Amino acid sequence: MTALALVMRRPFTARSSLHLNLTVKIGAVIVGLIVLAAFLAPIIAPYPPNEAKFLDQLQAPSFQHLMGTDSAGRDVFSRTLYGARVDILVMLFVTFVPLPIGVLAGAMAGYFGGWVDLVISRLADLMIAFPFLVLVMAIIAIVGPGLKGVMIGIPLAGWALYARMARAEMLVVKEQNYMVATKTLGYSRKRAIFRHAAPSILRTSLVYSTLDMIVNLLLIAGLSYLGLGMQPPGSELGTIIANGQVHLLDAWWISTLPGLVLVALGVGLGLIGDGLSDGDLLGKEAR
Amino acid sequence: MSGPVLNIEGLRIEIGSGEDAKAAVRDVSIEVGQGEMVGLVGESGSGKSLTCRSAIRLVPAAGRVAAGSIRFNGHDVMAMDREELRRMRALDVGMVFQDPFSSLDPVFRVDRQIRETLKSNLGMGTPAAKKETIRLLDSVGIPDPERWARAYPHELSGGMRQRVMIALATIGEPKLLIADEPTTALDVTTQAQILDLLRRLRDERGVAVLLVSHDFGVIAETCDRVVVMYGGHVVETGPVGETYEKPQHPYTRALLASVPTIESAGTHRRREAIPGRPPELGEKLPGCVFAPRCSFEREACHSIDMTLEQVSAKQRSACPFVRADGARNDTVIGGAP
Amino acid sequence: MSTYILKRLAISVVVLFALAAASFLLIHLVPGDPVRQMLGSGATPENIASVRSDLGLDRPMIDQFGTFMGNTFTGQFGDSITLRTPIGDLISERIGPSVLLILYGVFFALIIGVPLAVAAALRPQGFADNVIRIATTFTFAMPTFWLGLVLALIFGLQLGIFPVSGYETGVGGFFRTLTLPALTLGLSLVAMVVRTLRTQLLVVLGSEHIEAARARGLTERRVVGVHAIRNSIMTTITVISVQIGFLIGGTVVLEYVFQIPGMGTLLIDAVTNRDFPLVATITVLAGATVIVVSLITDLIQLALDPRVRLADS
Repeated sequence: MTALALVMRRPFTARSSLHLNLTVKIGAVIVGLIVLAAFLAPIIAPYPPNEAKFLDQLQAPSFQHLMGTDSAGRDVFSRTLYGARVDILVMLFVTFVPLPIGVLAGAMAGYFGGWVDLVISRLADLMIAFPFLVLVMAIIAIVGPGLKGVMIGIPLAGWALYARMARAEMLVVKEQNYMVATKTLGYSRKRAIFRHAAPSILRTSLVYSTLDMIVNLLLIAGLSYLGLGMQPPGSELGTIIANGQVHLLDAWWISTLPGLVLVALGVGLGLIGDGLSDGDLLGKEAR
Repeated sequence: MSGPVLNIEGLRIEIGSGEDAKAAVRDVSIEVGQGEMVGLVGESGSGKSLTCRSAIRLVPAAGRVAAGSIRFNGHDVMAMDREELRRMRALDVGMVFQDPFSSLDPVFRVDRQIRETLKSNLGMGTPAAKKETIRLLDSVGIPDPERWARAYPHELSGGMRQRVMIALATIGEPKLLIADEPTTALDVTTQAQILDLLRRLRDERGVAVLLVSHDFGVIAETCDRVVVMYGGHVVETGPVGETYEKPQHPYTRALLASVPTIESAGTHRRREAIPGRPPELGEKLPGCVFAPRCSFEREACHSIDMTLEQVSAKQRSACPFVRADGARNDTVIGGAP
Repeated sequence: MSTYILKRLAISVVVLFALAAASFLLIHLVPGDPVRQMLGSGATPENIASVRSDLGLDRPMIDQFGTFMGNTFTGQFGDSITLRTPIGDLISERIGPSVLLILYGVFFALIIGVPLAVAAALRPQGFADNVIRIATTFTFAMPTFWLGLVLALIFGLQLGIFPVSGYETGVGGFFRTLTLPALTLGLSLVAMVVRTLRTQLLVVLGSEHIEAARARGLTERRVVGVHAIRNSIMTTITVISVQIGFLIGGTVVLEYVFQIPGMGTLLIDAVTNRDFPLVATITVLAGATVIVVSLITDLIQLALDPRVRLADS
């Protein structure tokens, strides 16, 4: 949720279309596998995530426990599956709730100008001025920790960048011929915005959202790790990692392996975003 | 030392690789003698820039020399290793580029850039380099050199920047100066000054100059010999005066006819633009590449190859059919159909 | 040029003012009664009322706003509710490690990122370029806290080179305790540095003055190391400064991972304990840091790029 993502959006030099498709495909496969596994958690998880068997505690990864067990004897792999599910759902929520709100606000700011623009832009600028994590933490301080806090905090802080992006895009689009034509033809402003400007603005936002998803995913895990997100005994990737920290030396698998799932998910999304920002899937020219 | 300073033979430069490779320069041969000033004229896309850059192997990454030989003072340029090439560029050949606005590093002061070259290429110490910098700037006609040496490139005018470029190019007493459209980005008055400077360098120091331009007038003013290029080929060579008076190749004739002259003022003769367009990169045209636009075109044109033939004492042309006779607007003496 | 600086300063002050106001609003407009939440369910109405008046929360909003702004700008931040010490003292104690950590982290990001970017740009689409691109995709996707733990595991616990928690002052202590967290922070930033610098280098390397430099016979080392880098450095600095928000966030998390007593852990405790004055103050400070860094970056650009100077005079 930072300009970092805008930077990451700039791809490496143009690639051939074959390579493009490959990147997106690989990314989609990775993400798809993980999402599938996560959503099938109830079916494929070998053990209930909260089943504590103290006799089995701190066991190294084996065929029976693919990621070993934690200090309460719970199967880490099953917890990871359920945890991934939580993370993915929350990530989708906190990314795609502020997206339409922010885009709409930004589009209106860009289209109407005047005091609408002034108010929305200043507000967005103000929010962007704060470090994202700090801002979200401040909101959580007021609303209270837990997933509820995360799901309020991130969208509240996150709409601003979408707004800024959409506004910039709208300012460009506004001058395009087809938009000037809508004025001449007397289309209602609502129609002009929604039907004609929206597609290109949405395109940019959707590509950006892949990067936003990665950042939010890491943010959710991070907040949970700090104890401000999902509260125990719920399983979420961040909390699992946090729990494992005490046993870093003697049971390294608790903290490290679930993290790999996060990395894999992030890499998959990153590949998709990379591939998309070269333009292929969303209909832009590759060159 | 005798022998030509620069000898390019059968040069072929391709852009792209493998099956997609397109020839931008086809079978070009150019010679520049000691202390000679040779003009390379042609419109954009004729391959003249690539050709002159290839003399110091400055071909852009996408292109490569596919065939031909390039010899500088007898040394094979293509066979040089990186260090030899670097030394040649540093001490034996100087290059001046078209756009003085972007040829100097914008974040460093002028004196710093000159000093850097002096120290790197000639091994000068800083105090000596500082003095030499001022002397160099003075030698290319920059007024108040102490002051302008401390300036940044963007503070200088186009003409002054070009002078700085020339000063940089002369470091190491090169035997050859390559100037790629050095005056195109300048206004007419400054143009004259820069050309004057180049001529002076040749006269005073015996430096050979390869001057590339699309403007025949520029070349006519300064050069001894001219090489005319079109579509990646050389179509005509000869002494500047003779070529100007009696152009042999139809393209040269058309080129010169399209330039308004003092004589045509007051008459109703319109400038004759050459109909059609120059060939695209990679466009394969059988026979003569100029044929589609040539007013003398005939069937046989499409099966000739474009080798240069001696058509008069000092002129060579790639067209076997057309010859000039007397003034350039005379009708042609046709060769065999 | 000085008018430009003055203008920027003025704008920064205005933004800081707005930041402080925003923090104030944040606390007072978000639903929930902070005092009640602070004191917990066992609080009696008298407790709540007395704490409210202590904090001045029973006064009219405008009053509170005025006091808040006045205090903030004169550096009297009030007392931390949970720790019962002046916030100003807390901050001055804790700010050192955090600042050092960020600077050290940026140092790592540059020292790893710049050579990688150069290697990638010199041979685009080459082997090194592709490997670096894949590697950066990975480091970008790694959670900072997880990466910290992994490094702590390998270099701290298993190899025993560094301690995995705590903070020591002094030069030796600095290197011993801050190296791992700073390395983690740097690695998390490296992806951005490499990508932007690489792109910018490619642009610069294709420019005419680089070609002219090569035509003069300058060594490749000079051409890339001096001219290309110098022309690209500004973008890198801009990227890093734009990422200051990300860096601050990373510092907060890493302080927790490595148990470093800095502003990060202070904030985390404050949030966990619902210590609103402390949270508000730190938030404003964080925002102010971003503004100040942005201002400094603009000034650096003024100093480094002579063309910008001309544009403003």
